[in-house]
Amino acid sequence: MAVPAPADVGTACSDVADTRVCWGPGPTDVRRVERAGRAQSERGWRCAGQGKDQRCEDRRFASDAFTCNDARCTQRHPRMPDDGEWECADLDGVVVCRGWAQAAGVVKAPPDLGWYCGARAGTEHERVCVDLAPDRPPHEPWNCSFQHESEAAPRLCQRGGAGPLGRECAGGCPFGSVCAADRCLPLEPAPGCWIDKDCGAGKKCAHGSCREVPR
Amino acid sequence: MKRGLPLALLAACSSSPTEPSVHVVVRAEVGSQLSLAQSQIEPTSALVGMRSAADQIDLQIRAGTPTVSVKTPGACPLEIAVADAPAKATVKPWLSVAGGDLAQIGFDTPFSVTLTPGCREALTAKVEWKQTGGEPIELITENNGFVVRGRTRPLDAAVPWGIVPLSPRTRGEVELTATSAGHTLKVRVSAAARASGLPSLALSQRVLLGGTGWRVKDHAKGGKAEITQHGALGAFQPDARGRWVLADGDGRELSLVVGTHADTLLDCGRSDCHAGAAGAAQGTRMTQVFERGLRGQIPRYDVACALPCHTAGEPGLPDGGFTQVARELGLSGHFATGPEAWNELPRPLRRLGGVTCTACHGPGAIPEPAARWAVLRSDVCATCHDAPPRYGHVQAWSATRMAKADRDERARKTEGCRGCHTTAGFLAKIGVRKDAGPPTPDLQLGIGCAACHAPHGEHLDRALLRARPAGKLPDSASVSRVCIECHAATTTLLFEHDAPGAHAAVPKGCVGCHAGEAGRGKNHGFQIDRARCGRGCHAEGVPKADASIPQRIEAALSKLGLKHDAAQPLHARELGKVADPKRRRALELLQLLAGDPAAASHHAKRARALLGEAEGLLGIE
Repeated sequence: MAVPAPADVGTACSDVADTRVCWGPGPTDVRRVERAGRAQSERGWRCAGQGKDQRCEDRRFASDAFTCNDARCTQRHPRMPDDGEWECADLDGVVVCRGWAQAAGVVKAPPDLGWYCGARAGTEHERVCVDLAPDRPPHEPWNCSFQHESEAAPRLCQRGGAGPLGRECAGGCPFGSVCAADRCLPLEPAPGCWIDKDCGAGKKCAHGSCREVPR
Repeated sequence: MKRGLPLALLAACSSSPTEPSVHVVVRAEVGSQLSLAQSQIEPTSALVGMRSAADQIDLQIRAGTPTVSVKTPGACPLEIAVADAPAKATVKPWLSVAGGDLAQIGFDTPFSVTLTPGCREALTAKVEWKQTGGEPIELITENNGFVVRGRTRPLDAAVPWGIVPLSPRTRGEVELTATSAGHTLKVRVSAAARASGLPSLALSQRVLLGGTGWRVKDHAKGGKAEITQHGALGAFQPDARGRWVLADGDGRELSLVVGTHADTLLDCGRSDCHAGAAGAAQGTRMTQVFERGLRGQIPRYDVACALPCHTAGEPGLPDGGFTQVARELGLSGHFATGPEAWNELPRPLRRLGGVTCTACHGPGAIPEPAARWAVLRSDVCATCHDAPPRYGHVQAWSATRMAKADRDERARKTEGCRGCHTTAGFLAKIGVRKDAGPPTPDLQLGIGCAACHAPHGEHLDRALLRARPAGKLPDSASVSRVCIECHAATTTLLFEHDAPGAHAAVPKGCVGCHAGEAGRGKNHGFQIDRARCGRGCHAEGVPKADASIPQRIEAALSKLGLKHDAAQPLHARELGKVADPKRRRALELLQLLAGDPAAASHHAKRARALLGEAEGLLGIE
């Protein structure tokens, strides 16, 4: 459904965990940071776009709920960028996926809402997609990962860890993020890498995007 | 199991903690025939306002009310938890069966189905049972109909060595329908899971094994399953993914790959793999049928009934199929239909929604090279297309000579014969794939579905008939071009001369007359549809074929020292070289005529002319 976000400014905006972030034209230019507040749904809302074009949908439409005990939560059918084949990793609460094939014998459907996608550098057919606000169990912090070899629970979250990007800056922010308004925030995504080697000299892959390594 | 529609009340609720009341909308599902105007709301003190119509009630409920109950005659009460945000509505079905359908319970095995009433009102109503599908079985009801007992039928299917293929027709499935106070509940009871015969199995899919002395030679990692006996047959139900090796009493091995539908990669269409095949399959009705059904593009599409054949997996089994994943996602048997229904289906279900790669090839992913021939067996298609009366394709085909084309051992083994007597040989002959037939020469598969239908190749129409070059057949007969690859004598008689006969102009060519019986799939018997002939050119009756032609062919052959022998047709004999050019030409003509047993019907005038020429060459008056 359409959920206009009139306070958005800058060239691009996104939810980052439970924070609303807008970037300016500069690579590290963060224009707006505040908590994303919306009407409740049982599993929360997932949004894409900005300003008057923002659209949101209930998270339960594209993935199943986490099954939790005290220490860990698992998800049997995690969210993916589209119906094709993907391999994903959770880095600082940002999900980065590498796609290598469309799903054979499956009628095409629109891609999942809210991913930033691009061609993977140095490959013919592969793509990289980034999700800055992935499904996560409630009551942070959780340290989540993907276990593609596990048919029982491809996504596993264990209690603990520093928390996802969008967290407070105390303790420092990881490479590929900046501290703004006392929160660690990713730079505006420009997806194109899966590993550092994809980025060439002087750059490293951070959250799916090639970033200059500070000298 | 299909839940009865009247039980499904929908609740569309909205709430806001800032308002003193909560607005709740309750709707009866389309087709439920419930009258919500007669509903009672409890507790009445919770109501601020109410507006009701036949199929909808709008309730304004006092904030702070924990739960409200909507009682409608003929349905179990709808309980609304108002305190939750958003409000949640639950309704128990009038009747239900714990565990749902009864799957793979065994052949000739007793069973019972016990119904659970959803509420007190349902308990007091009588339940009537009726068998609504499958071969008839005897049913005994008890406890006012809340228990029904029966026995599955004995196995009635061919038992080859290895996995016994089972279709909906041969797996002993029955559909039972319970009716109570206008509510219906369907329960399917099956003796066994369907099996295509492919050594690619779903986790938990039990297969029967032809042969004796079966044992598990190598277990998949973590697997503990062993062979059990099911009557005279072995039975195997894998409990772990991966590769298993079974061996029979003679040490002959059967290698199986086990997986689940949901966890099998669908990257078959990668550019370096099967891009062409995947691309061709993408636009077919098999791929699209479920999507079209969900979008409302197929009239009277019953999603619940379509699941076993229009999605991957076997309902009732934990095989990673559509119904299992739907359960894991919290979606029950009810799926909304409409233009956006497909797009709104969760990704894991879209990947299983259709006759997918794994639906035919099995969820065990890439088979061993030695096992790849198996996908050519018609048993693969039979897992859905052998369910008469709805799908009569395989049953009708089974009665044809094409199904028995390789019953002669020489036809299976001789290279020159395989091209028209075996499916693998035929596909090699027309350049589709290498001739890799079954390694077991006693296995008879005939000219099966895959010879004439091309789900992965260039095809002509929604039936996926294999497209072939035009050759001598006109465009109006393009669907029959695949026939003439083997029925060459008929083609020559009908088309390859200056004066083609009237039958050459029949729309659709061969199948224009060989249209089989009326009924879905029954055309695969390919009998002459005499009624159709009568509606067309032969309104005055179909003339009898010239009976003298076969006799004259027989007489001419005897002049050459040859005799007609149905068990050893002329085209299969080594006739040696005939030195005399007149006798050689006569033999060619007679071979052509004898190659079409219906030459006298297909083109009598031409047959007579050729026969006259042969007789002249042989000096027959």
